[in-house]
Amino acid sequence: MKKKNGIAERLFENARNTPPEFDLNHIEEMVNQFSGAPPTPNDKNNWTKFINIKNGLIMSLSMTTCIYLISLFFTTGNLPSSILENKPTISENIYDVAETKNINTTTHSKTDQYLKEELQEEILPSKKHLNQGISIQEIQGPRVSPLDNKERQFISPNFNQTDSSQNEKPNNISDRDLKDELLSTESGKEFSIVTSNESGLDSEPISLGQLKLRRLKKILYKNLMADELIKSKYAVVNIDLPGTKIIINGKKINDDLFLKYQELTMEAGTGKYRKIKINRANIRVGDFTETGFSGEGYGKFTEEIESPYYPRSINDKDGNVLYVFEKENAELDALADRLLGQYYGGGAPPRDHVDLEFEALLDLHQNLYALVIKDGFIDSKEFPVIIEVDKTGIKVNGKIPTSAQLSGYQTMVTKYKIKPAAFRSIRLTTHQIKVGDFGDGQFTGSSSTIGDY
Amino acid sequence: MVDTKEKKFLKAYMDCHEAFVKYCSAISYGKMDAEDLVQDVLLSAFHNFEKIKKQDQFLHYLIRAAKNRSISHLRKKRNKQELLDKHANRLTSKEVNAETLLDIQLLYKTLTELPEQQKDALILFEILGFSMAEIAEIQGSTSGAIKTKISRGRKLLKKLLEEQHNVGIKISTRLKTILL
Repeated sequence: MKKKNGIAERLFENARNTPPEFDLNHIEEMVNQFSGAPPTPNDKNNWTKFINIKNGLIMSLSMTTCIYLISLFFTTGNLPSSILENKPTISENIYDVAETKNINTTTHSKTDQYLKEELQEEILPSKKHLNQGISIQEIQGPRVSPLDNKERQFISPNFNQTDSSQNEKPNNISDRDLKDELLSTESGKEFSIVTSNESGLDSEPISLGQLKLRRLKKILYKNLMADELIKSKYAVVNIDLPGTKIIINGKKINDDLFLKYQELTMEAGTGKYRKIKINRANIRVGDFTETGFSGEGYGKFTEEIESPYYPRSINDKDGNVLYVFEKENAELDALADRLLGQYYGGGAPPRDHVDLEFEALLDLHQNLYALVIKDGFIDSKEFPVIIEVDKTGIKVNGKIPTSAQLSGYQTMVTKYKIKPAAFRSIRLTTHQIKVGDFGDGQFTGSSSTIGDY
Repeated sequence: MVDTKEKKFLKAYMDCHEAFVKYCSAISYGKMDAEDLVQDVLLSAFHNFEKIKKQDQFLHYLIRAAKNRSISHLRKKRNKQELLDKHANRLTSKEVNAETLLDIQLLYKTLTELPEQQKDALILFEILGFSMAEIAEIQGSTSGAIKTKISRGRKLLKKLLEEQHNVGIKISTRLKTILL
C-alpha cells in the first residue's frame, strides 16, 4: 500500500495524527449554550419534508385516477345536453335516437319522411340492401347533417335524458313544431332523431337508457361466454324475446338458462318482434320488423352502404346489362351462411387490413381457383369458394386441406402477405375475388371483378 | 433537568469528539466553516437526544447528520480564503507544524475533487479508522460496495496527487530557470 500510494498514505497518516480543530472544552461551552437555543430550522415542523418520491408517486397516481374517472364520467353521457353540445367536434356523425310516443311521424313533411327512411336504412343492416344497389348518395331530399364518415354512426337514446321535458308536449305546440325543434338541436355534427313506435306491435314499451344498455350488453356477453353460448366476446348475438321462450342465435335455450336470461333481459321486455342484437360495436333493443327497427340502441353503428366492391350489374361488350354479380353474390352469401353461420366470431377483430393491387387479386383468383379444382374441393369455376385464413389455420369451403394440399394455399397467402386473422377470408366467384375481413356484416379489404362478361 | 440532559449529552459525545470533528473538518474543507457545521449538528443532536434510539451508535448518528447538513444546509457564502485561514489558524494553535498543515490542506483539497461517496468512504476509512462494515452501516450500503468505493477513491486520489505533484515540479523547474 505504501509503495503504491506513497504520497496519499503520508497525507492520511498526517491527517490521522493531527488533533481535532476544536478541543472538548470548546464543545462543552457550545453545548452549555444549547439549552436556551431554539431548535434549528430543520428540526421544526416543515411541510416540505412530506415531499418525497414516495408521496409524489402516490399523489400523481391519485391525480391520474381522478382525471380518468372524471373523463369516464363525462364520456358516458351523464352531463346535461348543453354541456355535451359544447364538446369538441368529433369525426363521427352522431345520432341520438329515442322512442317518443307523443310524436306521429306519419304526418311529417318530406324532411321527416326522409329522416325516417334514412334512419331505417342505416339502422337495419341487411344484405339485401347491398344487392339492391341503393347508395346513400342517391337519396334525394334535404340532408339534416352531412355524413362525413359513412362508416360509423353513434346511436344513443339519451334524447330521453336530455330532452325529457319534451315528452310532455304542451297542447299549443304542434307535432311539426316539435319536430323542427328537435332538428334544431343540431350542433355541429350532433343532432337528434326521433323514431316512433310501430303501431300495432304487441310489444312491451322500452324505457332503457345509455347506462342500462351498456350494462345489458356487458352482462349478456359475460353470461353468454360463461354459458358457452358464444365462443368469443366479439361474436354477433341475436336474442329473440317472444315471451314464452328465448332464442339465442337461432337456438332455443333450455329451461334452466331460460329463467336466468329471462331475468337478465327483463328490462328489454317481450314481444313478437322484440329482439336484442349485440355485436362488438353496439347493442340494439327493440322490435325488428320488415319495415325497420324501432327501439333503443347504444354504441357505434356501421352503415352498410353500396360498395364499389359489390357490383350489381355490368354491361357487356355489346352494351347488354348482365346481372352476373347479383347471382354470384347471392351464392357466395349462401355459402358463407352455410359454412360460417351468421353469428361466427373467432377472436379479436384484426388491426391490419388487406390491401392488394389488381394484379395480385388476378393472380390469386387464377391460382386459387386452379388449386381448389385440382384438390377436388369444387368441380369447376362455376362454384363459389371461401378460403378462411384465420389463426386456427386455412380452410377451403369449410374443409381442412391435407398437408400436401396445404402448402399450395400457404404459398399464395404468404406471397401476398395475407396474415391470419379473425373474420379474414378469400372469397372467389367466377367473376369476382374479395380478400379481407368479413365481420359484423361488413367487408374490409381488397376486391375486384375479374375477366370478360 | 437541563443540566442532566447536557451532562448526558456530553458524556455520550466525549468518545465521538475526535472522529466527529475531524470528519467535519474534512467534509467542510473549503466549503463552509467546520465550526458552523459542528455547532449545527450538535444543536440538532442535542434537541433530539432523547429520540435517538441507538445511543451507543451516537458517532454514526453525528456523522450521518453532518453529512446531510453539509449537503442540504443553506450555507452562507463566505470567502473561501477566509475559511482556509480559519482552518489553518485553528490547527496552528494546536501546535501542528507547517509541513503537516500543508499536507492536511493538500489532502482535504484533493479529497473535495473526488466523487462524494468515494470521498466520504475514504475519510471514514483512512482518517477516522472505521471498518468497512461500520461505513456500510453509516452509508446504508454493503461492505462490498464500500470496498469498491474505497479502492476507486484511492486510485483517483493517487492520480490527482500525482498530477498536482507533476505540476508542482514543472512550476519549480520553470522558476529555477527564470531565476537562474
